[in-house]
Amino acid sequence: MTAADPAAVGPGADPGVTDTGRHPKAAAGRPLIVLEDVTKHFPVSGGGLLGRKEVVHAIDGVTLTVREGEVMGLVGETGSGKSTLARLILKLITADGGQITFDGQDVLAADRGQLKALRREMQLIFQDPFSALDPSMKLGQSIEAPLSQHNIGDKASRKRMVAELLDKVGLPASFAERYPSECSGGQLHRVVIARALSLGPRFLACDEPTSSLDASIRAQILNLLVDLRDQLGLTLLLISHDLRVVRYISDRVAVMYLGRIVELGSRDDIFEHPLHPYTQKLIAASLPERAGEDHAILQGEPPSPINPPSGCRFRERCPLAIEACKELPPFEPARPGHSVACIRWQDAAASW
Amino acid sequence: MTTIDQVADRGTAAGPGPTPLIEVRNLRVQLPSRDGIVTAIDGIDFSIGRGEIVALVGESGSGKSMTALSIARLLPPTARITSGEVLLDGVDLLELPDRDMDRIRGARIAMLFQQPKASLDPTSRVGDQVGEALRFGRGASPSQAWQKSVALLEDVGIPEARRRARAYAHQLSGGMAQRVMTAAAISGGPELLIADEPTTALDVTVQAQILGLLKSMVREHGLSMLLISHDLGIVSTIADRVVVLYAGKVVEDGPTAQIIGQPTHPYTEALMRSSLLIPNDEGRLYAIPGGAPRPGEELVGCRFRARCQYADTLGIAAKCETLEPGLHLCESGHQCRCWAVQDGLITLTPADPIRLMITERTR
Repeated sequence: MTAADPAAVGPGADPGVTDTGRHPKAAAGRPLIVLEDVTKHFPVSGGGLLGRKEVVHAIDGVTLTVREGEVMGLVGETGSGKSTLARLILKLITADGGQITFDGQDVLAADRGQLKALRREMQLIFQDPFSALDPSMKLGQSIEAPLSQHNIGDKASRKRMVAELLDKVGLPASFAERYPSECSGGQLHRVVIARALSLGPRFLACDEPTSSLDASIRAQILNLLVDLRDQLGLTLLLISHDLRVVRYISDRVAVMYLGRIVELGSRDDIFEHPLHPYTQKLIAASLPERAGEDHAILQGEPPSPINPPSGCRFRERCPLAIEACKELPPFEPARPGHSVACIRWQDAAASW
Repeated sequence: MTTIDQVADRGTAAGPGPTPLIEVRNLRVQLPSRDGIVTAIDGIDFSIGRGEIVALVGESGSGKSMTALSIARLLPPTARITSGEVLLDGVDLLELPDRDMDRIRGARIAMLFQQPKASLDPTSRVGDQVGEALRFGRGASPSQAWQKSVALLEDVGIPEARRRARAYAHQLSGGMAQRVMTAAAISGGPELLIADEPTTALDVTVQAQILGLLKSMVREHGLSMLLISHDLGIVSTIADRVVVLYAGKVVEDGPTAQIIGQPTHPYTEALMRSSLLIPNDEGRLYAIPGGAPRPGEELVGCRFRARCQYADTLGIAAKCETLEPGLHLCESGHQCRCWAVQDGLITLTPADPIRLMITERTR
């Protein structure tokens, strides 16, 4: 912790947070987003024209708190429900059950007007910047669009704001006159971030923000996200299947498997002492130097979320599964600030 | 072991032989763009030995995919090969009539792409698609082809292959689809498999499975493989040799252990550092400053000069700005295009913490 960090000496600083990660001010925040027992099922029609209706269990009873100013990393394989969760928070899709609040305000019950106001506070950045920007619009127009939709400022002041936003993301003001086709992927990513920041949000959900980028550009964008969060006090939800990205940027990490959170803890808890066998396999696959020799590659793929296994959903791929895993394991604190949904977490921890 | 006779019969010995299977010589490819004619590949040379896995690494726009498409002669119609040779067993593929090239594709050279589900035909059963090369390339009857497809699907680790052969593309996960594509690619018994970012679209857990599968297929069937990737971490796990491209030129070419453990070219080192995502003491990630040259940009001197951390500190900036370095042999089988390396100004210190980290990671 450096003396240059004002939050470290401020009244909000929590003495217990220094060991949770690189960002000392993060974990001190109060709850900003609270999800309680959130469920989202998508109906799909099963085999044939008259097939019976089946249900994708996209999100099944997720409870999670994101604190103001922290970076929450969300990891899991394709189909685990990571992206669905972000869309539920922003009410781009509506949850079937449970409760979602943003700064105490009920997101699910919000009407049109309230939702418009909420969306100024919450923004989402998608994976592919090429498809997120209208190819026929100049970048300045794209960045300005949310401002004019919310009737902010006049034409001249909006133009100034666009220049400031471009500056914030490290691009010269002249980019406002360019079209998407005249930019590289990394530059477009910065533009998408600038647009997301235009309404001055407090919360930014980033869905795979770097997976379409080259390694060299990925590092630039991650540095930018950290800068913005430090300068603007943003709260970030970072969704990624790349554990190296999540390890770098997150204060806390939630691991999802087939619609459920199976482990939640500080960045160091998750990467140094993973307790769920699935988390261990994920880390072994993407950070091989972290895992011992006996952590073999995870076999198979996640089962279909249409008919998820009963009990622990990971049990069919789990090396530690026993008969009792057919019962749904409770999601409980194993250590302070570190929760896991596995009845065999002690054995898993011992094997790491 | 496989039941496919064509595949099993190929008694190619593993290990790079004296004559390479593929030799790319002074290949130059140009594309029209809004800024005029753009040189996508600017005279590259490399070879692929028999049984060898060669990785082609670089950022987007470096010319990796264009190189692969040139070898298979699948370049977009607007692209023009302005010079060079692609020798398969000494025969220049670029000179062959289209009809002969059609026979080589599938039978001797097969390709695997990034989006396995987009590569599969959504309207036909995967068993039929895997058997296509056998039916049309090798004249197998439909039922023979089907039997062999099922065996191949088993080979690539598809559970319940007999049942899955009847599935359609949309019923497969991304990992399964890539296994199917692998089966289809090897069905014609090719000598060279070109895999263009074969795992980029897949989950990390599945990536490891597919890389393991590709490696075992290559070794079992004695194939050679050209693996294209922007991720040095991925290639380090299976490649024998790495060729690094920057702005259409080869900047480094050598055995994987040397490239990863002791990257010699400043670009290779920077690429390695930035892909590790390990923060420095201030919590910042190392990022290569700036971006790759834009297509059509006029390039004088070393193409990496503007982003290079050594040119200024070593006092050779003037030389790097005006003269283009050639490929310099730094060790047997290891070439590098850099004035600082050629003039002996960059010394490799194994104690460099970055390099140690890299070694640790790929151990």
